[in-house]
Amino acid sequence: MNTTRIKFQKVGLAIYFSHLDLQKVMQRALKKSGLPVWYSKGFNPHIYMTFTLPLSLGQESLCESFDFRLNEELTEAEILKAMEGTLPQGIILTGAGAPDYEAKEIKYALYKITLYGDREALKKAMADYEAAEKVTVIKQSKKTSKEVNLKSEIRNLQLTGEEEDSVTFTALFPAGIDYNLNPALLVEYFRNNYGIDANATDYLRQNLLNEKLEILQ
Amino acid sequence: MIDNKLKSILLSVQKPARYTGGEPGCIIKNKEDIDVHFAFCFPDTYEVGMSHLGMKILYDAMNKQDNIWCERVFAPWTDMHAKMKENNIPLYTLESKTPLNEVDIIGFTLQYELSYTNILQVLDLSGIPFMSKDRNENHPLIIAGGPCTCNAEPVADFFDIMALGEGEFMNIEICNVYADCKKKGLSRLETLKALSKVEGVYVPSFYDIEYKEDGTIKSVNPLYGAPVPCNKAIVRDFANHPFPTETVVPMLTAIHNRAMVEVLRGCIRGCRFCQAGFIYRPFRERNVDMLNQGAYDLCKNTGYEEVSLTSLSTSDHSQLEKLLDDMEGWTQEQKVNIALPSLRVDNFSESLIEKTTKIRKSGLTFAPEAGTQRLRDIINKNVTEEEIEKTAKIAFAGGYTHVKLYFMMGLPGETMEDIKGIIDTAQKIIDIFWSMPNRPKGKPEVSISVATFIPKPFTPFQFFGQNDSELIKEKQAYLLECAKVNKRIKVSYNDPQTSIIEAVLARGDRRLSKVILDAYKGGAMFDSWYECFKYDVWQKAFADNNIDTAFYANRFRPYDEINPWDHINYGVSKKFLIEDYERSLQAITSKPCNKQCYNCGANKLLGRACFEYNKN
Repeated sequence: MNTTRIKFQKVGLAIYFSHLDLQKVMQRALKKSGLPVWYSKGFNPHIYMTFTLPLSLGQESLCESFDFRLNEELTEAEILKAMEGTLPQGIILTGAGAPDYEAKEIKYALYKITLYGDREALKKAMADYEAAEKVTVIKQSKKTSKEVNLKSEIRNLQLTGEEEDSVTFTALFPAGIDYNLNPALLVEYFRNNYGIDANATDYLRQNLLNEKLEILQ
Repeated sequence: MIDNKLKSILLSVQKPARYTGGEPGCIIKNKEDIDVHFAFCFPDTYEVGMSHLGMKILYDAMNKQDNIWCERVFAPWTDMHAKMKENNIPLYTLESKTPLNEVDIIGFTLQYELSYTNILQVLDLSGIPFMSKDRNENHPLIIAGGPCTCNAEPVADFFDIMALGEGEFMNIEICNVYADCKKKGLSRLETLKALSKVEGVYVPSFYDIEYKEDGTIKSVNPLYGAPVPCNKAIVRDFANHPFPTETVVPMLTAIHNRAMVEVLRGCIRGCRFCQAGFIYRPFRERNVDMLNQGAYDLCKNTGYEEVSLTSLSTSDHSQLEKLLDDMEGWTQEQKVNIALPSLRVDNFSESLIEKTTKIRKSGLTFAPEAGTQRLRDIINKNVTEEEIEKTAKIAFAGGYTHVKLYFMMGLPGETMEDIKGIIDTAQKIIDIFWSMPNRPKGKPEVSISVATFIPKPFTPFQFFGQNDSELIKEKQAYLLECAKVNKRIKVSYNDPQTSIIEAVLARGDRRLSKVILDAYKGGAMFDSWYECFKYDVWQKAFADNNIDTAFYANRFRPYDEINPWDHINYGVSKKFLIEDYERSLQAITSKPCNKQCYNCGANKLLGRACFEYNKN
């Protein structure tokens, strides 16, 4: 039994279905692939699958992955070949093999975010944010809602580009098994205070990083 | 493909994947390489439409033709509808995101009457005129198919043509004739004339309807040599006709999210209330080896964990046991569950239950349809009390504790005694559970679902006047009263208001198109969805057009009256329907088709007898 990690991108049309739907998509893809996938024993045999870090609907990512088990040892090329043509548009496989890091090592996610609207207003929003001592928003989870200070949680925010109707920046957001900060919280803050169209925002998760801010490959 | 404006809208509505396409198995072609660009529209939500086998069959059949590209489109849910209107975004096909008014043909499948307003919604969002007469050569050809076309007179004015019967061959021929007319630069009228020659094609505007003073039809007068009657098309060699082994697999969970293979078409049972049982005649079953191989390929190509052996009555396939034996090996190995959605109480065996529940157990559903033997004989549901009891025993012994039973109310000849019989049947099943020493753990539960009977065209009950809503309400109240005997009996029934609309539309005529249009303009949409149904809007639309719903729904129709569907031929003759209705009045049952032929007429479509009667 070999634990195998498949790495993929979720981009374009694939941003419109949820993490829950993605799990079923991958399950069917593995079934279609004909790979010698290991099934759990018991009354209801199922494919044992764990996703490294869930991604919100509406966001793109270049660094998604999930683990499953194979009954045989196969090469990366063999696995990728078998998976060809099994996936929806926008799910692009980028690698397969033994897992090279553990999910619990993940501490940050690097996002590239493009906000749309009037350029001057967007720039003012960004400047105000950078100048502020403290920016608090309410973080809702299933049971609790609590106040978080975005300024102390989001790191390395950098403006990287601007267009007629947009500004683009990158930043590190807390991510991982223990704690997550969805970048949508920052965008919602801009929407609430500067009236930008939050739904038009482009999110791209580029990399996952460990505590030392090293990129996890 | 999806610009920023559309993206922003998609991320503000529920389940955006309804509107994006890109699923595994969807077909992408190059517009330059095709002659006919066809948009197949299921006028309901994505999840409902994507559960429909007919659409998968025709998508596959049309896309196998190099010169045709069939794409999909569904009715946007109310949230998306509002956003599209507000932002002037035209409705588009899922595969190529082409605005609907740019395709050659839009084909609507009419599966139920309550989806009619959504046809108008789709045309509206596409900027296409509602009425056939208001459209010209620049507009797509608007066509209808599906079971409701056997009497789609209420929507006849919206459609350029209707495709009667089975579309596997007919749709392709329609596309080819259309392509030919387009190349020749023919006018709309000349194109319709050419299409009217295709087997199964009905051009509503080629039939002039004259009415009597009492509102009934005086005569139907064909124009341009249109055929009377207009015959439906069928697949004659169904046994060996291929079926899809690759389908679009949605990311979103569809209602029936599983592989489906159609094991047989038509039905031998002749239940008198059942429209499908008559309009899909003649009975034809598929070759077992082809089914087994096809089911295997379909599961392999889709990755589904469940395969459903679909039909009107799957256990009537003469070689079902062999099929299940053949499938056993690979389904176990591949961990695929076999589902048999339409079993009959009278030939449900222990080996069947064993074969279908090896991997996973789900609830069990049966349809006795009526609560007493007398009424079951009237409706020709040839199921006995003993068979129901036997089935319950097998089910309980097999580990089930939950049994679901379907019934109808408002059937011809029904009395309050029959309503009480529904609860008596449920109670008996619960008693059986407790009487069994080998019963499973837990308590039994019997859910009974009682639908209001709606008389449908091309059934022996097409003459019958539907119970009015007062009577239905009275019967429903009595049913609830009777159900108090045992709290393990759960009762559900539908709203009589939707049944009225359904009944009117089912046997309606062309004067109703104005009503449907007014209802849509008044805000009616997704009428089969409880949360969307607006009875007051419909009532107003009827009143504004001086339409008395009782004329269409509750009136007995004399045998010699010309029905709106009498110039359409689905195989079964009116003579047969009258004879069978007469039998029902005396509670005389008809035998299944494979035991005795009653000369319904459907074999004429086949060109031979449906069964070899001298074999046994």
